[in-house]
Amino acid sequence: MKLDTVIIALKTVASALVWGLGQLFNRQWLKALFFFAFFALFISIEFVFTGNYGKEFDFFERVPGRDLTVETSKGYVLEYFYNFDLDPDGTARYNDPTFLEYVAELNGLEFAAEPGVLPPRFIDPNTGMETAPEGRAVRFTTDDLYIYMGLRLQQLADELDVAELIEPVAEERALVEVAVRAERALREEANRVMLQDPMHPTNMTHQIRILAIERSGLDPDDPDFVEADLEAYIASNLAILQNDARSALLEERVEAVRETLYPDIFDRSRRTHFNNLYTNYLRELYGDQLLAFDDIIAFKNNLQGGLTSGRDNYNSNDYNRMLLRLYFAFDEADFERYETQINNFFYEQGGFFLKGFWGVVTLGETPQRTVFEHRIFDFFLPSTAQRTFESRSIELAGHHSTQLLLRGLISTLLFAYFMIVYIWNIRDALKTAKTIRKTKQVPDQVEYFKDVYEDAFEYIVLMPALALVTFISLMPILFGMFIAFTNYNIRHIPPGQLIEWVGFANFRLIFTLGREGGLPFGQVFFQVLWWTIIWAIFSTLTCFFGGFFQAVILNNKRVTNRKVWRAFLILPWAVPALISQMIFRVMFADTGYINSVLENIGLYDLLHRFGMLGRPFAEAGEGLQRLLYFGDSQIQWLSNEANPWFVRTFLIFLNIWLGFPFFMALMSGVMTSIDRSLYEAASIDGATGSQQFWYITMPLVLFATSPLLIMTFAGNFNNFGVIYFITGGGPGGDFTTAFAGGTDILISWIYKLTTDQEIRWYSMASVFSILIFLIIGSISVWNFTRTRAFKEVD
Amino acid sequence: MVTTVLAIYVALVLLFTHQSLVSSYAEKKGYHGVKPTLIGLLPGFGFYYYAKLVTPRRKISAYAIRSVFRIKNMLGTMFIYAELVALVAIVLVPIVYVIGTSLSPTSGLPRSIWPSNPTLKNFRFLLTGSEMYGGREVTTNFVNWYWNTLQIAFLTMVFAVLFITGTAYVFARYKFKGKKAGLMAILILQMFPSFLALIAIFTLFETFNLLDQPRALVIIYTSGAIPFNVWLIKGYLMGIPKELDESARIDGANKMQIFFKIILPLSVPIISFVAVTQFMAPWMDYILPSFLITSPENWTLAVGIFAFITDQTRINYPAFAAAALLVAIPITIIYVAFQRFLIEGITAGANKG
Repeated sequence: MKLDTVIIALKTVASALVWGLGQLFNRQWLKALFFFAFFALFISIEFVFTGNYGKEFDFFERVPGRDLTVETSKGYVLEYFYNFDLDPDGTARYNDPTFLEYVAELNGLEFAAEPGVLPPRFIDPNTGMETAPEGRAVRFTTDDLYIYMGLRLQQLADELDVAELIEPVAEERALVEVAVRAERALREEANRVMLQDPMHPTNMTHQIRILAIERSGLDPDDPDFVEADLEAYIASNLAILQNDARSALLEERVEAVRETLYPDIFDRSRRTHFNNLYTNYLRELYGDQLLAFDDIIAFKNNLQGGLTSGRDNYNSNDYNRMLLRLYFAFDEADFERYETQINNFFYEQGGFFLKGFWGVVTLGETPQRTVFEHRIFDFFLPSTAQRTFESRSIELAGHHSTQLLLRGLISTLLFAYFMIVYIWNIRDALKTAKTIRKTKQVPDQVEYFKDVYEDAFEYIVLMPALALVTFISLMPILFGMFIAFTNYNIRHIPPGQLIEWVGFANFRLIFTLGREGGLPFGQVFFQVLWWTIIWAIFSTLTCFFGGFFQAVILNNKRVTNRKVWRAFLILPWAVPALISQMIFRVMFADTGYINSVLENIGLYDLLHRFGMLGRPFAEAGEGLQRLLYFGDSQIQWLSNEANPWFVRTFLIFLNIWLGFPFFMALMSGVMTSIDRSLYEAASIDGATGSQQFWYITMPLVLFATSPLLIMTFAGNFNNFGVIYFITGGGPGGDFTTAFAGGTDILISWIYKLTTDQEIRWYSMASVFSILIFLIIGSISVWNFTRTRAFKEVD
Repeated sequence: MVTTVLAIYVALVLLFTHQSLVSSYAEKKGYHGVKPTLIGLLPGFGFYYYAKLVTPRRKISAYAIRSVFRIKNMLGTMFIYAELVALVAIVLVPIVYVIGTSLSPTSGLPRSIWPSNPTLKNFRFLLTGSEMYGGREVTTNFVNWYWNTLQIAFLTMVFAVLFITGTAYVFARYKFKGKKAGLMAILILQMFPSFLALIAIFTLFETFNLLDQPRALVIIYTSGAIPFNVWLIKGYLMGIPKELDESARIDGANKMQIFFKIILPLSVPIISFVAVTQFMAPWMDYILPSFLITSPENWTLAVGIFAFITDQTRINYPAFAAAALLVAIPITIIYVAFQRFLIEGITAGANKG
């Protein structure tokens, strides 16, 4: 008994280690083969198809551009052969045993030549053919240069005491320059933002009031305080106060910009300017001196020769790549620094799954790096009258956080599917082993697979849809949710920067009303949420009851040719909403058609008389006049920044046009389908027409259509189109409101945060999406559990 | 102008009130149908016609006839028509405005409902791709946008129907492991705002080099259509009696044959509903193409048309209006043709999940 249990356990463990092994011990060959096939696939995805385990890392594979080919490098050797064949002691250098040894060591190639008869050639000892694999040839060139040039550089450095000379001067000069430029960039940025966004009148008034209180010594908390005194003070000092308020606000902006963008600007300027200074400085020092050496000229001449002879067809990238090799050949310490950063075991060698998991966990460890140090050698770049090559910085690809996350998610999902088979395999081994112990015979596997196939029909049919939904719907949603827990925003955009996990920080920020990067996300979120809820409730109710009202009118027995009227009234539903929304945007523009009509019929004069139009908001009166402030020179239906509630209310009304016909059509359908006998019975009982309406029509219609109310609410909560196409989220919306405009609902705000290239605050957009899901999801689930379909799922 | 508009309004209200009264008058005399309503459009003549020119088809008391002309009834009728005429006007103004704008010769923002010198040049501009505006040649890719959208719509329709019907059939008819989890999962999936997936889809497209390829959008539309529509069709299929399948199975049909021979023919209405809605969806989608497609020749209609009123370098209001018409007319016709069907479909979605 005891031994049996151990055997069963062993078989299970065997299957857990090597899929199908337990089945093998169970003497089920077919099954063993089946599971082992999955195992083999799983293993080969990781190790054969994708992994680079054990492969040597070649740094220069990461550098964009091609190797300089055989011709160029060989040319250099030729040059070498003809021009420098004599060492000081008179022996031809290619015959110098030290040199030959060096060449052989470097390239593993034979270096053959007969002076005066045959030019030198690289011979591959394996094939005996002339060859010069590019990497090797270039290495020959650079290494050779290094040996000769390095010595001379050393010499130079000793002579000039370069190290002491360069470093402090360059560093200091660079830093001063950088600070000046950064400050200038900062002012420019603040000004730009200021220009784009004229002063918000509300802020201005508020600021003036604060200043006035400060200066007049009047205290609003004082029981003797009279508002009129303060107003009088403001009126008499208006010009000064306005001026000071404006500069105070400007200073506030500058601070906000500094907080948001300063580190970026500083970094950027520091990098570029330091880069320039460093390069120029070294060049000044080195360039002329270096070109005084023969073999350096030879190298340069050869590159030049390759270009002019038309042998070489390289571009700037290729030459810069060569310069980078040169630079790294000189500064090995720097090379190692770069190499250790770039050569990450998981990233370079890991297979599909391992690299995937590592990517999700770390989101990458090395950002893209810009190397510019090689530009000190830019005097090597050849040029002709037609073609010149620029010395440029090289982008060394690092780890792309979002791509790593995406690949990682794909790996994880695929891994999960493999795990299903894995668990199936283990459980099968256990179950079969138990059966064998009980019945003392091996169960029929053919029968088993037949059963499986019988049930597999459903899975086979589901497979395509499942794959599609997993990778196109589920995976992106998971990705989006994960983004909410990172710092993925305009300051961390791969590949230039890495993104990092930040835990619940983004959520905490919202609920502590915090700011991030100077943007008040927390506070604004609740303002936007409040408007979103109001919008969703009112836009749903107005359309629902508007539709109901219209259905009642339309179904009145006095209406003749009902179908014709219905056809007209249903038009707003049939015309694509997107198109109608855009039409509204045009019609209700500040100088649009509607305003021109209203002006022509004299409504403007009327509004002027009531003070709802024709003066800036600041001069509008108190209370009602403020509430009904329509605009200054025009009625600003969609752009009234001073009075966003006017625009919001207007949008709710405009939405009725778009939304009532659906409910009207739906409800008239329900009305005509109400059983006539109900009305007959009612009228026999003496019910009047209005009683029939209140007690039969209305309850029946509203009851039948109320499930749609919740759905419409959810739909309006996310009604992107009405907001985006009509007002674009405006009026207003800058970084004082975290870019949310006056009519932005959550979904359109998210759209802005995601797609606007100058905003790109993905992490917050994801946080809001998750919060929307929690709100809408719970409403929908609550609604859904009450439906029939829910009970049918068993 | 105000007075003209008001006069026309009052005249129309009176005319339709008259029509309605004639119609109910004729009804009392036993005449039904469309004819009385047409005759009612001739002021005065309608009553005269039914009072004198034709014989009543049934006997009716003078009291009953008088009920038609009671003040309360007449005012009620007038109120109803006042409301209907006003509402139809409100509905029609934007539509007429857009038609008027589409005929406007200058590319600015028109301030009147109808241009004084209408022209078809905006349509020519869209269909031929170039036209002179204010002495400057302007070009557009409208035909490309239309063709892209049409392709996307058609492919989405085909793939969505293919993917959805089979899946829905399996969910509606068979019990298998993971069924409940699967149904719940797709239900929850569709509650997430689609923006959540936007960045990932962008990265995905970037990785697989699908950015700026309009037809690649089909993958997303198809996948996005699966959850809701699987539930919808599943609900419909569950209404088809199971006895039909069982008798077929007894006759030796396998699961595949049952699907093609029995279920599919019976579910044509709901499948066509899904097909129509899926065909329509890409026309109306702005978010995905605007985010994933960068070069103007690859845009879809929604993106291109919106650029006519927002993109500073392309602003052209009449072209916008003409394009809007060229898109809206076919879509509107489809909607009106399928309206009952579409409303039923949406309601079914709400009630059955």
